[in-house]
Amino acid sequence: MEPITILYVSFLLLVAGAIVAAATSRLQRFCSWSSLGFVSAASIGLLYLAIYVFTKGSITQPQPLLSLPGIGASLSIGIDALSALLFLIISIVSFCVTLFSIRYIRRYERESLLRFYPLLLLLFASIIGVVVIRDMLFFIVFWEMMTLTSWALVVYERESKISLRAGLEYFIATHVATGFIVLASVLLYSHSPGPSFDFDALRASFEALITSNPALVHLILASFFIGFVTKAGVLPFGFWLPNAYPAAPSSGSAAFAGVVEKAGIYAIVRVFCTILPISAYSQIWGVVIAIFGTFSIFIGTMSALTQDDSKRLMSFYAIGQIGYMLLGIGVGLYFLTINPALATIALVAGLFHMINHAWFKSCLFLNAGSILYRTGTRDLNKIGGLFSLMPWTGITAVVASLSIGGIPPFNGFASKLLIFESSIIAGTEVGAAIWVKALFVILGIAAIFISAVTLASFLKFLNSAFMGKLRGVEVSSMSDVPLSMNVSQGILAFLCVLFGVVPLLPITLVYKAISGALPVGICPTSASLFGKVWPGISVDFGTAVTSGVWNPLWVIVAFAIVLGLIYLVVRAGGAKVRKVETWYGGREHIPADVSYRGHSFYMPFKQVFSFKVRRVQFQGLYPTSLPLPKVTMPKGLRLLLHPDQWFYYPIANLFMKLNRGLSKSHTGVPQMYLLWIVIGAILTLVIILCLR
Amino acid sequence: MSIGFIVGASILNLFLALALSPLFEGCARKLRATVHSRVGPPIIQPYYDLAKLFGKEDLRASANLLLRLAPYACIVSIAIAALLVPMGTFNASSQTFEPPFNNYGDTILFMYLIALSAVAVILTATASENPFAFVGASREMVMHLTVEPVLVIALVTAAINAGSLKMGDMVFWYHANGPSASMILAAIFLFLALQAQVGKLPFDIAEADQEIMGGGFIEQSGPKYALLRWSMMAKQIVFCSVFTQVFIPWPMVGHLAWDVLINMAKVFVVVLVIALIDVVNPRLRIDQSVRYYLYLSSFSLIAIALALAGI
Amino acid sequence: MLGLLFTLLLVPLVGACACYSLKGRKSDWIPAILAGITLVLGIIAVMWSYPQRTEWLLEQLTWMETQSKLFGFLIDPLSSLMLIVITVIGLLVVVYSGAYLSPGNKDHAFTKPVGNYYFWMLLFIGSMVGLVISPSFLQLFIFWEMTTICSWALISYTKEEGALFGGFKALIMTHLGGLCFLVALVLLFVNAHSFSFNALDSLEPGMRFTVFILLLVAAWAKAAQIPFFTWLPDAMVAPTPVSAYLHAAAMVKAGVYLMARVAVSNSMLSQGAGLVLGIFAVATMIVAVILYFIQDDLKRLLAFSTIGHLGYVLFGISLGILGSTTGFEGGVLHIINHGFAKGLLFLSVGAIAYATGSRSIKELSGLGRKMPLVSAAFLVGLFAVTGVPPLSCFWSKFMMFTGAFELGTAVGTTLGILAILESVIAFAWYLVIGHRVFFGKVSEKATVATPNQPRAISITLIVLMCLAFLAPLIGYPFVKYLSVGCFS
Repeated sequence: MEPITILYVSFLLLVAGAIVAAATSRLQRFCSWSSLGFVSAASIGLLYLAIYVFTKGSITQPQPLLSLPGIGASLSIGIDALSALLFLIISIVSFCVTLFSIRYIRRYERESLLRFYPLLLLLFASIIGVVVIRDMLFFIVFWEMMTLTSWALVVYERESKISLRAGLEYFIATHVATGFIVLASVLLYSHSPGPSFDFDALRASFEALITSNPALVHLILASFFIGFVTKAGVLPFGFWLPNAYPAAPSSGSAAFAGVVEKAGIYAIVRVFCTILPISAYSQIWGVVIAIFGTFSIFIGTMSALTQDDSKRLMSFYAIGQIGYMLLGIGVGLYFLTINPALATIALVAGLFHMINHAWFKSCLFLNAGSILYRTGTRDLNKIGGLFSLMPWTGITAVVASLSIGGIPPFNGFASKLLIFESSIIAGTEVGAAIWVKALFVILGIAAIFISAVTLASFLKFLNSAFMGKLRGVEVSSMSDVPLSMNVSQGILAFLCVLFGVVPLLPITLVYKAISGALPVGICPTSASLFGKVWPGISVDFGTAVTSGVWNPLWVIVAFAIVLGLIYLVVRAGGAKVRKVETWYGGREHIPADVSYRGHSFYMPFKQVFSFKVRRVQFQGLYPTSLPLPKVTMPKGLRLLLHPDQWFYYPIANLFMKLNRGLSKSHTGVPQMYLLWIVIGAILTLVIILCLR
Repeated sequence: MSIGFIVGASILNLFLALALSPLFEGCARKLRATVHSRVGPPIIQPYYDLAKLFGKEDLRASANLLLRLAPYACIVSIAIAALLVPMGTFNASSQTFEPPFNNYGDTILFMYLIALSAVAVILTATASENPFAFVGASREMVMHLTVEPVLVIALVTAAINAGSLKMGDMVFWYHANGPSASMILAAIFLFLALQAQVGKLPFDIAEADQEIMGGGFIEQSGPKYALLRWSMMAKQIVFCSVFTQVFIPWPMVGHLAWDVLINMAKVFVVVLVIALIDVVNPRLRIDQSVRYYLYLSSFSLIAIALALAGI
Repeated sequence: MLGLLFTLLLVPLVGACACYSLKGRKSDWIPAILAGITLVLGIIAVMWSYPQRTEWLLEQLTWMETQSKLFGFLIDPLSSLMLIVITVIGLLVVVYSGAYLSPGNKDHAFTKPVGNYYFWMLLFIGSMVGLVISPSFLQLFIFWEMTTICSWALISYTKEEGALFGGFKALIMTHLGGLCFLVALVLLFVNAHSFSFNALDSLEPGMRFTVFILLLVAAWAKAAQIPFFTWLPDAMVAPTPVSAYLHAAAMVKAGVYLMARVAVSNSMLSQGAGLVLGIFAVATMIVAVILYFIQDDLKRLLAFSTIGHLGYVLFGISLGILGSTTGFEGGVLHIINHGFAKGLLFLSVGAIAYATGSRSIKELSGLGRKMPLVSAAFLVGLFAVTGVPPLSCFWSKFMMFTGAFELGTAVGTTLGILAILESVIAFAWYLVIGHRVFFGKVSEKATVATPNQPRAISITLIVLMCLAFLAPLIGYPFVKYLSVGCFS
């Protein structure tokens, strides 16, 4: 079987699964399990394709599926290493999410499954479309399909005002973003040879425009940037994210954070690395991307410190971590012309963080979902001590939290290491402008600082939810979360550990993705960049000297040895163990008096970063509610737009008056009519005589 | 880097960080006593303390696993951090002071291991379910967040100058290129941050004995408490080594034993200075400390600017 | 084939007379059968003639000397497209009316006999069919005026005060447009001695522009563009199937069809003509979208939306005149895309009115829970009309945007940007309305809704939902043969 056929089959399986789920939506168990079956089959296909592409090279189609020569578009498909990387993410995250949903969706008794599973499967199908299409028109089609299906998931709870408001914001914001993408594509198309919407034609168009109309190139790039970045959730364009992600069912949120956001990053890499030729524009936009990325990191994570709702907390993290990816990509884009080694490493770092983020962020959303499932609340102030009730969720939450905080030896550390090193070593590059170097170093330091803040906030999450005394759960439901939910979380946590302990493996895959996306010959070889000391990495920024290292294997060995030694020392001490009560200073108290709520944790920070600008309250650098703009139509305009009032009706009335006036001449008296006849006859005679 | 060097230097570093750190702590306590016009305990008192604690009963206030595991994480992470810091171990093949794990981990790993030890303290504090511990934990995190930027900026200055993030390379560069304005400035800032990193007055807010009953350590007893105290002592040595080796690498003799001794002497001096500051100062409040370090972080960016300019 | 077209024209006209006197149950399904026969005949005619253009010119008047014969039949891709829209939606609307015009209608209870209604409806179908298969301006004009009368009768069907006024207003305004059409015919005859579609080419430029403007005014009046747009919102007092058919899918499309026919048959239209057409079209779109925000009645909102979308079609045609084939094709494709999508929207609003008795946005909320099929239909129609891929209007709108930017001129770019802006704003407002009406807590008015609609209504909605996806696939094969001046 041709590899490309497997792609079609996977896509069709998902569509078929959506139809089956729609037809059987009343039979809950059958619907859930059949959806899982379809998704697993599609995921296996995608994994196979990913492995095929990574080992044997990219796949192209002999003939496009559908051709619209009238508009220069065709449904052309190609799977290169970058798409394969996304396939990896899509397959695993979709499987875990669907597995999780099987039991989770039972929480929503009032809502029909008809609006969940079919849309979830269509969401996965449209994302597959987004990452393989090589034609801009159809790219936009699948992009909007992705938005449509995810909107439907956000407004799943139809009666909740918050969900509805969130869904509205989401769809409108992303539709405006799509408008920008349409504008940019159409502008590019009109200057392309053909004209055509194919990516290669668009690249030729860029090459022509760079010499003839530089301002237009900036406009096009800005439109693309705004369009994609809104979807990825980068502040300030991603203002919809903290409202929209919590509103969807948790498995839906996990799918969004794990896959939909990545589509935005994929699109940015595709446009700025593949379609845009490497030039001064890459540099300028590299700086812009890096700045927006760090802005997002900073605001997102600082605001997360003040959140008490578990899913809203995760959403702010999603915003923050996307910023890391953009920082890496931005630094990479800048140095493409100056130092390809540094550029490749930075781009690899950004994309590596993308794949790591997919694992740990989806796991965290699923954790929040498990907590919600068991306790019925998202408020971190109301729950506590869940570790004893849900140990497996707790362990995966710890693993995912440590990964997102960047603690070695988990995967977050490996990607963050590369991002920090790229931005700091950028400061030593001779060929770059001094202010850019300073900027990148500052951004890198800010990113390191925020990494600590991320860790801090996750500790708050872990503490509020899992540590302490058990609270917030009724005695009757003292059972663990269902196995299916545990397994899905476990798979993702395992991947976090795996990618952390053996970082060279995913880095090689990401390297293949980047070297495939960039023009051929730009990137130095993987061995020269990352070293061959398996499983660790020793990073060489093109100076033939390694500038940074990380070898998890030996560090873990040392850790184990020292741990053993210390343990022996403790055992040698021979201390006995005794259980006691917690000591509260010797005073009488009730548990409620002495419990330390989550929101007290970072009170000093909250106080420093809360302020009010006019009528908008900012808490932790983020506005708590955006007032809706009130639009009233000025009276003059309203009048102008109703021509009835000032034109038609007055004229009609005038006619009526004229009519009435004329009808007065019909008095009904025969003598008047006789008079008219006589006058008429005289007039006619006069006219005939004059004309003679 | 030969296997012999790695193993030998690892053992040496661990010995210095773990086995010798109580001695330094003892000297600091002696100095304190002298300033207080007391006789004070003998210099090896910390060894006696640790030995006693290892034998005392281990009281468990909660069944939480993290309560038991976190102290191990704390000290082991400091120990691994010690392997990443040069402590006078001169490597003949590269002609510089190199930590044993120079090829396995760099400055960023070091910063994260320090963060991990702080995280471990916080986890063990919150696992104990005691509200005093929670207060201490939150303070510890805030302290860590505000002090870390200064440490990061100082090390990044060195990294930019050296063109590499490996500590051995930083030492090599500084020794070869002589004192420079950016490095001196970074050294000053690092010194100012040292006090908080090792948890001494005026910045021992996280485990303010009088105020919150020891903060995160309130429910720790016996061997767990010993491990936590031990890690505090080891942290002192590790940080002082970072300061002396990276920012004051002279003199470099080229002979292992002499270099280690010289380093220990430098560290000793720094420990005494820290102890002196600790003795004569009161404790700051958390908000005062936050403000102090945020200002310091902003000023320390000057060092980066100078490093970028090449000065 | 000639006989086929003849029968196609006669069936609805004769059938109308037959339906006039129907009473009782027969009056529900006989008109549907007649509309179905029209549909079948229409489809056969379309498929038989595709993709050629065939003309049968039959007769001329002895007292009028013209260069070509006047009366006959014409079938080509443009009229095929219109024929499909007219006959398909005609059948669906007739079926729908069978259920809608019943005493159970909470909005306005209709009592039998309804033979009168079907008479006018079938007459309208016949006139529209005649309009699109006319080979000359004169024959087109005859059927044009017939549609005006049918519209007047159908709007005033319920004989209430508001309905009578609405019908009268529509009659006067569209008839004024018809008068301009008549003047144009006279001018054509005087200067070119011909009524055929490509007669404008043989005029001198000044006269050509004048005739074009007169025809344009007629089209504006019929299609409710600026400055004649005020009759359409008031015409919404008509029964909803009438609104769906006449004032969304068919009659108003006659106006844009006229313009498309003029463009397709004349290759020497000036840039000025294209500019006038384009600028007014975009101005209409903007005005329509501004007026969305103050509407409370769902049907009035849809009326303004129709006005805007007809502006889109004229915008596409103007792009064709200015030089872009893609834009022209997009504009013509928009006829069929919009027809099905807007028909779907109107019929779902009709179903809502039938079940709850209200069309007010303020009063309705939470309908999604009570009437799932209707809300799904409305949402599909919403996305189809605002241009969310892969639904229908996205494709035509995208083609028009491409066409606008392809021109490369400042005017083209400005108009293109305005069009994109309008699309996005319209989408935002539609979505807000959709949210308000279908999501959220169930309001008072909505609780009286019965979940089961009559089967006729449900079937119609489902068919239209499918067509909302398939419309571009149906339309594109015809559209790709069209461009400005291709039949001149």
